[in-house]
Amino acid sequence: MSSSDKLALTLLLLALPLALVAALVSGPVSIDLGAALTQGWRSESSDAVILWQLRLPRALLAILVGAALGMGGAAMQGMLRNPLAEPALLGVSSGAALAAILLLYYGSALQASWGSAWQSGWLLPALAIAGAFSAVGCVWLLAGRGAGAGQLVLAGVAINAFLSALMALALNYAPSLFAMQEIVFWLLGSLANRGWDQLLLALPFVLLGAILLFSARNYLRALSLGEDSAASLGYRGRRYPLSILLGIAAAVGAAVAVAGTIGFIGLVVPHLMRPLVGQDPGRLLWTSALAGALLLLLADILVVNFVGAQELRIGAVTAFIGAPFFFWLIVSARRGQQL
Amino acid sequence: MKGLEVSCLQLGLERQRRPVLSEISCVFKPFELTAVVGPNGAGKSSLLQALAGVLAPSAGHIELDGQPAERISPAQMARLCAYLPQAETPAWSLRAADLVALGLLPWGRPKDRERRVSAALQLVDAQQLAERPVTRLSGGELRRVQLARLLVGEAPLLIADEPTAALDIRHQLQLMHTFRRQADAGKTVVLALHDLPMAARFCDRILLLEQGRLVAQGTPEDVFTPALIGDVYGVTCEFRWRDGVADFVPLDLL
Amino acid sequence: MKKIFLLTLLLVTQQATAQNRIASLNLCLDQILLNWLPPQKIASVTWLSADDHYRKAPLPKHVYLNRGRAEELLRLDPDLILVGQFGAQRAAARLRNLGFNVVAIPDAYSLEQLLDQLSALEKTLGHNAPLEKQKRRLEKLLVQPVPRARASALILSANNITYGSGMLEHQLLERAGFANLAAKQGVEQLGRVSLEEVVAAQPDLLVLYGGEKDFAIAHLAARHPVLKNYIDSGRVYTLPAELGFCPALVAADVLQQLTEKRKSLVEQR
Repeated sequence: MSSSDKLALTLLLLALPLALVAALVSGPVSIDLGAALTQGWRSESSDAVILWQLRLPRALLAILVGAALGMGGAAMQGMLRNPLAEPALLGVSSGAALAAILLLYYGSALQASWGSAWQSGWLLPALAIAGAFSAVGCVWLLAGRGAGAGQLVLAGVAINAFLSALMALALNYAPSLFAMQEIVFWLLGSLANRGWDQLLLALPFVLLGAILLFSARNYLRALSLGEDSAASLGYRGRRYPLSILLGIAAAVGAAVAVAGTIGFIGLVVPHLMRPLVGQDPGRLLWTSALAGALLLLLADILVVNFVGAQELRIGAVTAFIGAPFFFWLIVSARRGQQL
Repeated sequence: MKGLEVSCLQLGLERQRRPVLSEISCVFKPFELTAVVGPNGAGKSSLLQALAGVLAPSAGHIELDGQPAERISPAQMARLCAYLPQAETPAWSLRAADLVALGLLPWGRPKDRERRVSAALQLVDAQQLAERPVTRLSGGELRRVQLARLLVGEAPLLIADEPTAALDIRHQLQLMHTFRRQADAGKTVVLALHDLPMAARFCDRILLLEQGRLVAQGTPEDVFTPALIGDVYGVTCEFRWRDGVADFVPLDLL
Repeated sequence: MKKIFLLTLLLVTQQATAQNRIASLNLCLDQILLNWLPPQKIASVTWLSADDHYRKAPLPKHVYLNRGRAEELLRLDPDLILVGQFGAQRAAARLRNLGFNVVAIPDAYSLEQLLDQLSALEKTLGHNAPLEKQKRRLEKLLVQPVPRARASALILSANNITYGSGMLEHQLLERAGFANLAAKQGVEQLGRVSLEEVVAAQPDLLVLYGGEKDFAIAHLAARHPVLKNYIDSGRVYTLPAELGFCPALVAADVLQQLTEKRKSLVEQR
């Protein structure tokens, strides 16, 4: 890692708390940040409530979801050895979203029998992650035993399209007056009106996913040589790809359960970070988590400051911020640099 | 260094339910440089993959120092055997030195990593490539960097599939000298080769494969006879031995 | 003088209208028929009215569910067809040409329009006890002076929508003695209000728009823990969903409940 790369990473690390401060001061109401901070989080003054109960959990959720997506993208690209992979590719996101939609919109029957689990709120992320796992499981089965990356991608695209169709169908028949609009919520994601409860729901699963992915970082490193070489370096068997898929399903599934499917971060962030870590797929994991968190937080600041009759969708904003970076990457690759 | 003796007993291997190797029995010993030769599709790569533990045999078994290979964990196996496949395409544009360092993964993060990497690069005459991204190396340069990755660890068994393909003659010779020295230092070295004179000149033992079967094994003088080569490759040829160096002249198709 | 005129009009219409088969081409009018008329008089309502979202009154079995097409009603041969200001206009015109008795009832988006709507209904349907009772109740409530001890209120509806000046909901709040904070901040018709604006505005009463028990992300704001304070201290009032699509049914109730709510809030101070 050259010194300029180190500098860039340090700047990113410093930018995150700055962006957090920016997120805390931005909103439709102007609050006295210093006073709200000193009043503490139990205070009932409206400034303190806005800061501690609304802005802080939302900003932290943006960081958590962004980190999960960035890390999931880096892991997926590493595992498939393909720079165009993204965490949603193997149906993780649509599986999680479909499970969440089925539970939320049709789950009133479950509410009776699973009352306690429902109350504690664990059921939703648990089911979303189960949905993510089942989607990945279907892809795994469809691709067949010992499938290579290419077959996995093909199976993933097929399962993904099918799940998206099911999702639209489920929302179409949902007993909700807002069914069509809710499809947009899920497909473009949203952090609006989220609080500590959603953050605390997602946190353990994202952490679990992060641990799983991080413990497989050397497998991803070895895999940059190819599957045979990785096997000869000791990363043989299904344990490692499974732990990667499990990690992605847990982290991204939980993120989708609370925020919907936010695209583009998982695709573009690993690209941006790869040159900074000397293309090392291991270190790419945590740097992508960092950059994903920063990008989503910035996108959310934009959403919060956007004035309009309708809420600006955060998925649209991430594409808006992410796509120009991608253009720039393509242009610089055309000039002879490496992607 | 403690050497490693590898033996194959009635080894058979299938790919997509089609047998690619059958009834292979042979022994690879420390201090020995062995070349696996044979026409395209004879099963050379499959044999090497089985030896490296990348493919599981469907019949017979492999023993390392008398211990059945299936009882050795993948992590343990990685410390015993370094393997370079025939075609290894790096997915990411790593720095050459970083790619070489991947060869040390089975040993964790040794403190003298930098030194070992540059020593390995020196062995293949590639120290000047250390900082270059691997996607911007020529075919031969990349191959040498990959060989450095093979040599950087401490595995007593080295397996390389056609290591000299894509190299110029100077680097071919240099590389064969390197493998020779590794064998002389006590390692067990197994190479798949197409270059028969090179195999004859540097290797102690030759395994000649044809259609998944072991046709002949022994010293180069034993195996490289016009009759055997004619049978297996379907060419007429002539060997001229001078001080253990074979001059091999393929004359024409049979 | 006006009263006498109305009375005679009432008598005349009552005699002229011995309708026994009434059909409706409008969701709100459906509900009015189902709630206030004896079931045997109803020939047809729109298919939307079968949905539990909109319907409180029972749906008699013999009532035909129409999709606003002329030929459907042709077959039923109703004595009276009610139609709203918007929607099913083509079918209404066709039926009118065919000689059916089609009456357009104006929609209600304000208190004034609501009274007009009730009068129009009275005129068309003739003597009807629940209708007259509702109208009298509303008129009585509206002549009462607007209370002086005012409290503030803010409406938080699905998708963070709030109601400003010019809306019926606003009028009801003002009439009940609440200052609608959204209107004070210059919101006309509909506007967007974020949760932090709700918290910062600190209204005495938080008014939610009810109706849907099922989950929707659109309702996430109303479930946010920062509003727990309001719910725990009883400073929440939920508008019935009918107010949104057929205020005639509930406007009087809402106004009365809001007035009482304000009284209790002022007393708590």
